[in-house]
Order: sequence, then structure tokens, then C-alpha cells
Amino acid sequence: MDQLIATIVLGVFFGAPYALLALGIVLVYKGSRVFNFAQGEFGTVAASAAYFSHFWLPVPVAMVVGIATGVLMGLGVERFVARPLASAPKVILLVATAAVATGAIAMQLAVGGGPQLRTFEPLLSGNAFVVFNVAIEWQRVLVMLALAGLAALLYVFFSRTDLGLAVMAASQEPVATDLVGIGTRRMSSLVWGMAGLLGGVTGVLFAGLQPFTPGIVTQSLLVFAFVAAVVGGMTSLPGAVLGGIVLGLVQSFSASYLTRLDFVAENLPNVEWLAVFVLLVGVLALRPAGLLGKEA
Amino acid sequence: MAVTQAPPGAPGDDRPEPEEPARRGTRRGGRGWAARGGAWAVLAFIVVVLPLLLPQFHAFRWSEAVILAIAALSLNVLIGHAGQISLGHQGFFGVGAFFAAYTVTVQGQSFWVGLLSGALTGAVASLLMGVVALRVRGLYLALVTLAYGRLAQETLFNLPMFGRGAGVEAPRPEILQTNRAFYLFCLLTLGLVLYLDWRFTSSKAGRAVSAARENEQVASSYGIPVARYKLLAFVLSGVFVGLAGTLYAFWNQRVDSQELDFELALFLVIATVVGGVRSRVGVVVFTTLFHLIPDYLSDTFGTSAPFYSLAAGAFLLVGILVFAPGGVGQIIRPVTRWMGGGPFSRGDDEGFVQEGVSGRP
Repeated sequence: MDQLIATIVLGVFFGAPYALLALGIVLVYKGSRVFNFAQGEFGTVAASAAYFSHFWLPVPVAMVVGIATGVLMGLGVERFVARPLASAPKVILLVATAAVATGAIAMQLAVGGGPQLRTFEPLLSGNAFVVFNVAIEWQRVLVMLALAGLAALLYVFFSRTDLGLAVMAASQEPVATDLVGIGTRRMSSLVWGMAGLLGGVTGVLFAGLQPFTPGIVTQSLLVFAFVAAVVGGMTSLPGAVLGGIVLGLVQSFSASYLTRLDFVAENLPNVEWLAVFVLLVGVLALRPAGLLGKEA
Repeated sequence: MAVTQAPPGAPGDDRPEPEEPARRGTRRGGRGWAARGGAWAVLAFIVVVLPLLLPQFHAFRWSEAVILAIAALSLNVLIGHAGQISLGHQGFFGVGAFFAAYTVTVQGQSFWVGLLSGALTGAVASLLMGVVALRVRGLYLALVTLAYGRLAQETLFNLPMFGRGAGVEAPRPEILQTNRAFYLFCLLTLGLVLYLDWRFTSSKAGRAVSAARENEQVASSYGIPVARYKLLAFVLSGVFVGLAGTLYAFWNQRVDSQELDFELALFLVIATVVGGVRSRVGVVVFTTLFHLIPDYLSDTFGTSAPFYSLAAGAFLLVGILVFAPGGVGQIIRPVTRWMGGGPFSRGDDEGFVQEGVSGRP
């Protein structure tokens, strides 16, 4: 019983970063129907910017600088990649964003002098609480709070504000939206800027959880975030949150319980990856729209 | 009064003679054969003879380039011919490599059996992905392949039979011990793969796959069993990448999962798309250059050079996608046409110019 609660708690808290990144992915998908592979790098670039500025700025300000860099990167990708390729098949855009991610990682490696591990001070150090031998750091709680706050804000933005409605209109019917006088290009920039913000927050907070190296957000979080987005429903922001939590739970349960089985411990290293893969294929085969999504 | 007019140029007609349509060197083996022959000779020299003359070390590096070119050609079968996407191609590459190494080292079979088993493993793994691809389309398939690539790297490559993370040895057979000999063997394999790919695209199966890529519903309304041909494309791609992986195992004389990561998958995607989808020559040329140039640059300019060139490659990819969707293949088309005996021009008789990845102008 103790183990069960600890597993659940771990799963929920470890799923929060996935959910945060998934929010950005779903946002871009809702706004431009693109799978944004660079979402992870919005995070790592932001983390790097925060890291390099924390040498002469107080940590919270450095974090803001980092997030601002994420926003700038989002806007840049929109202007130079998403917009010129707006009418190309979506697979091309996916490859293009993957190229952006690779380019960003390579630039970080080049400028930083190789795959160095760097540590970034978390905003609040130490453990918030301990649950049955599982320690949850304050930084993780912060991620959870950021997730809850941003998810709520986004939900309100899209469902209750005029601007949110305009963004949705621009993504669903660009021509008609232009005709009524809403600048679709501005909407597109807004969406990508917000995605950059979300990615930046994820990266900056994530950097406080463990030592980071170029490409870390893409390596450790991005695939999971995409699976979370698919599981929750690519067009649903609450779905992204739910998907992230679900994914965290799946990982946590496979790590705690599946590895107890001898067969698994002997023969299947890193069985959480198998569980995630099965989850992804399962969702796509049985319910492609995801848990809360409305279209396949 | 004549009801019909005399043809132009005939005695009864006073319109000017029509001009002869310009013939632009479409004769093969006609003028320019000396220049073309010379170009081919230079090419053959650089590719075949030069590595044999330079120190062994260069043949070693060039072998890897050829291996990656074969892998890129296999991805080209998926992306270019079949219109599918794979962001986890390092997964197939790796299982081919590991299984071949396993066959030779653990099972004690000969190199040739290892080669065959590597190719077969690639084919089977790819076929399984193909079955998934029947249900899952486009972007979602990209995601599944990405997840598969990671799964392969985290779990499959660390299976007990593959050394539990420590890797597997893959000693070369006697005749391929020297790097030069191995390089020639890789070249031969590349030639085989190119030949098979060419035969495939000019066969009925190849045309069926292309038709399915263009528009599945129309293709199946013509009676093409789309699913079967899609799977065939996956199998062919799997054979090629399994071969490439096997060669890689024996090139390195050991396999371990470190190098077989997402970066490799991205390298292959960049190589295929920038090389020019459906352009065999473009893919081979660009892949080898994209691999070799950073290596040689870092000899001269230090260890950051490969990072800068990876960045350059990524930006190149975006640039190609935006400005020249046909990639390097499209750009060097005049050269390839000329060397094949045709005119030195871009030409648009094959609709090749504007197609790019989407397969549509």
C-alpha cells in the first residue's frame, strides 16, 4: 500500500514536466496543425540562456531572461520556418522543426564547447515533503504549480477571451479570419510565442531538477511530451495535462512493479520505454483522438 | 483553288520554311564522349583508386560514409518512393548491426551468414513497422517511429543477447581485414543497393508504390493493393538498412548502443531530404560529403567543427525545404544528366524539378 501511494505520487510529479512541454506542443498543433519538434529546444535554449546570465544576474531574473529567450526563439521559428512552409505538407514542417532542434543542439554544443554538464541552482532547494521513502523536491512542486497555473490560464484564454477565439479562428479558417480583419500572421506569431514561453518555463525549471547538457530537454522530455499529447488528445489542452500525468503514472508503475517480475528484470532493460511505446501504439490504434481530443 | 494547303516548304507554298527543331545533344555516344568519358574516369579514380593509394585511415573513414549512404538510400525508399516517414531509422540500423554481430560472435556463424541475418533482421523489423504504418498515418507515424527509435536504443540494444549494454564484438573475416579491402566491399554493396533500388523503381512494384504515394485512393481504385505494396516498400527499406547496419558492425568490429541514437536518425533524415528525395545520386553524394566534410574539417579546425557542420546541415535542411525542395539531386541534375549522355540542363521532362518531398509540384 505504501509502495502504491509512493508510486502514484512519483508518477504524478514526474509527469508534470511532460505535461508542461505537452501544453506547448498541443498549443502549436491547435494553432498551426504542426508537430513542433523544436519545443524541447525552446526549453534547453532558455535553460542555457538562464544559466549564462545567472553569473551576473540574480537567479529569478536570470530565469526570466531564459524564458524571454524561449519566447524569442518561438517567434523566430514561426517567422523563418513555419510561415514560409505554411502551405507545405505537414510532414515537411515536422522535419523542418526537427532540423531546427538539431541546429539548436549543435549550436549549443559548438558555443558551449562540447557536451558539458552544467548545474543550475533550483529556485528553491531542498525537499518539500517525503512520502514513504520518496522525496519530492521543492522544484518539482514548483513545476506542478507552474503546470496548473499555465494550464488554467491557457484554458481561460482559449475558452473565454476574444483573442483566444481569434487564434482558434485563424487556425481553423485562415481565409475567413483574414477577411474579417484579424491578422492571421499576428495570430500565428502569438501562438508560437506562447509555445516558446511554455517551452522556456519548462526548460528553466527542468534545469533546476538535474544537471543539464545541450539537447537535454529534447532527449529526456520531448518524446514523452509528444506521447502525452497524443494520449490526451492533440487538440486538447486539458488533455495535454492529463496525458502527461497518465504517462508519468505509466512510467512510475512500470518502473516499480513491472521490474519486480523476474522475466522483466532479466530481459527487458528500461522497460518503461516499452510501456510508453505500447501505450502510444495502443492509443493510436484504439482511440486516435486521445482521451479528451475531438478529432483523430 | 486548292482546298488543302501544301505542307510548309513544299514547292507550291510561299510561307517561310519552318525551322528545324533544335536538337540538343540527345544522342548518346555522340559529341562530347571524350569529355564525358574523362569525367567518369576521374570519378572512378577518386572513388575507387584514391582510397587505395592513400593511407588506410582514409579508407576507414570513407567506408563509414558509404555505409551511411546505404542507410540513407534505405530511408529514401521510405520517404521518397513510399511517402512514409521514419524518425527512428537508427532502430532498424541498430537491430541489423546487433543481430549480425550476435550471429557471428555468439552463434559462431560465418561473416556471410551474419550479413544475411543482418539484412533479414532489418527487413523483419521494418515489416513490423510497416504493419503499424498501415493504421497510423503521417505525423503520427513519425511519432511512432521516433518512439521506436528510442525504444530500440534503450531496450532492444541492451537485451541480454546483445550484451546487456556492453555491446557485441564483430570481427571481420580474413579477406576483409584491411580497411582498403573493406572499403571496396562497402562500395560493392552500395553498387548492389543502387542497382536494386533502380530495378525496383522501374518495375511494376515501384510504379505501384509511387502511385500509392501520390494518392492512395486513386491508386486502389485502379486495383493496386496498396497495403501490400506499402509493406513491400518497408521490407525493401529494411533489407537495405539491415545491410548497412551489418556493414557498420563489421566496420567498427563491435556494436554498442552509444552511437545509435536519435542524432543518427536525424542525420539520415537530413541526408535523405537534402540529398533530394527520389534522387539516388543526390542522396549518395550529399550523405558522403555531409559525413566526410565535418570529419576532415575537425582534423584541421578542432573538435567544435563537427558541431558547426551539424548546425549548418540543419539550417541547410530548412533552406532546402523552403527554397529547393528537390535538394542536391535537383541542383546537380545538369551534371548527372550530362554524365549520363544527355544535355547539360535541368530539364523538366520528368517532372522532377519541383516535386520535392511531397511528391507534388
